[in-house]
Amino acid sequence: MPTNNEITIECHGALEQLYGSREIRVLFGPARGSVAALLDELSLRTPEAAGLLARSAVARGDALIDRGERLAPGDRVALIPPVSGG
Amino acid sequence: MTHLSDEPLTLEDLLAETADPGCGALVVFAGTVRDHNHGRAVSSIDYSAYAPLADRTLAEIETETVARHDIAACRLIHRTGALAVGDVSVYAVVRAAHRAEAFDAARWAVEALKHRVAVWKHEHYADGGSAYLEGCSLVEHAEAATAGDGAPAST
Repeated sequence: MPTNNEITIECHGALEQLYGSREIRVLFGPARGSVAALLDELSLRTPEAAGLLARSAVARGDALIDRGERLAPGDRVALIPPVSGG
Repeated sequence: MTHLSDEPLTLEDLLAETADPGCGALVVFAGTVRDHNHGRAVSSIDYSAYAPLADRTLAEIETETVARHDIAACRLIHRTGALAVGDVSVYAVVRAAHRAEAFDAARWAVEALKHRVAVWKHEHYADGGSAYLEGCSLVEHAEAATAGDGAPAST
């Protein structure tokens, strides 16, 4: 179960392969705040994913959210790397 | 309506859902797994999706396709899971009074699907390797959605 200060992140596509898991959790206090800050944090932790993270969108529920959206502890978001359906 | 399925896709339900005696044109597009890509022999493809967003986007593309073209109906369904060469990965069904509009709309819908739906291909090759395919970034779509502009005009 996530703790109060954690954000749960679903990893899809090549990001699932890079992180070795469909789901990861990061400590992310309210002071850090935004989607952009979360992506920066992930890029620092996993430099090999930085390029793909820069091209990845983020979704919460069934909607895309932009880099400026504020996140709250307990949130669940999905990383959406470039899509390749069809 | 179903937009994603981890079972083999069938056309019958889509045809029944869109049946319309006022339509003289029915266009069906099926995407199938090809046995080669960029010079490598493909043995299978794993398709995965972020279902909440993929389902919503497929529904939005159906609605937009009808709004942008003089057609009666558009239905899209995408497969997930492990597919073998020749398996159907996607169906697009369009009905219209006349063929020109039906062809145009089906092409538009399939292009939009490929550019916007949260689905990923993981190709497996005959030489034992595998790779996720480089795709289309949705970063601009996220910014447009937040700004209330809908999808970027390029799609």
